[in-house]
Amino acid sequence: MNSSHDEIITKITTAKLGKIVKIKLAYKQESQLIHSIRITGDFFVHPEETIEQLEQGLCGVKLEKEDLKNKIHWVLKNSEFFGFEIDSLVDVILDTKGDKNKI
Amino acid sequence: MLYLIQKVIKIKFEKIRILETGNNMGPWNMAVDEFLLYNCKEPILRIYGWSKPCISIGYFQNIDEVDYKKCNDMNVDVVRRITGGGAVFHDMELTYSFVTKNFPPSIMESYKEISELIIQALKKLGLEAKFSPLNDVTVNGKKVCGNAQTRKNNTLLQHGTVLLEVDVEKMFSLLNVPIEKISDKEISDVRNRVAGISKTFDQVSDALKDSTIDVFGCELASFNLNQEELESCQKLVDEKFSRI
Repeated sequence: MNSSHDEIITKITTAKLGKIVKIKLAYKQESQLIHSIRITGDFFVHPEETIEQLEQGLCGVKLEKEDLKNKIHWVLKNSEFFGFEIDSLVDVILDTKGDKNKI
Repeated sequence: MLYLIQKVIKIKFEKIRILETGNNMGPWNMAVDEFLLYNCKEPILRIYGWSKPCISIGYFQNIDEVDYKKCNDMNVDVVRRITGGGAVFHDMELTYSFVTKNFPPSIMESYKEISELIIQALKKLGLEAKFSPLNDVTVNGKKVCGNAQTRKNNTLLQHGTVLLEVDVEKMFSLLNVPIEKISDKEISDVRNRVAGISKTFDQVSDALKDSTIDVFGCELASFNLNQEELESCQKLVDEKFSRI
């Protein structure tokens, strides 16, 4: 299928990890690539700008566990974060693609 | 006692500047904190309050956390913090900011060391306070003080609230949680986890200044922001903190 016909699906989920994490995910249905993602919640990340870098870095990444995990590890490697673990963040992103709402 | 405190504290200061800015609106309070963060030359302890109730939301939170219409109806300010964490309802509390270029690299360690100011202040008021990682201070197992910090420009800012009294129902009514989802149990849980210390602002303020001298073995020097600094803060209010 031509990528211009790859429909973009938007979904939102909220999960209670160590802290609340909300994901707004837009992804391409056919290719399963992230079109855009917004990660919000009451967690802590130092430096704070890392989350914006993560949101930008995840664009174009395939919605598969290893791909997501590798990208998140790479972007967060020099930061400290509290309120979620990388594995649980990956699971929430994948859950967002499905229809599971944890809260 | 002093020996025990000093075992916890690794950072030392000869002098800490004290800034008491009184009660102000939410956007002004957050603007002053940001100004101090980017213009810190010597360590500063700021003590302040709120001229009207305010909800501050964390750096990473979505703006839909707060019910703006209800906040407007109830004359409650809404402002975004420069620090992470959750929505905080500022009403009957003392708020402090500690700003320094000398701090432990570890986030956890720096929370612990700076929160010692609050713990020792509460002990002076007869309360058996404890540090509860990551960033809380508890008395009898209930949270009485929440803290958050950011690091910019080789400077650390930690701000936090010491709860004097708590109105859980009012706090929930201003957050954008569907009312049917706020069960009596949830309100009851928060009430069981959070408490005010039933002291006055002035009592806590005096105890905090005394504990700062004890904890850091330093002298205190009061100061006020000059006209130029106040204008810089107002610019931050106008350009950043008056909108979410």
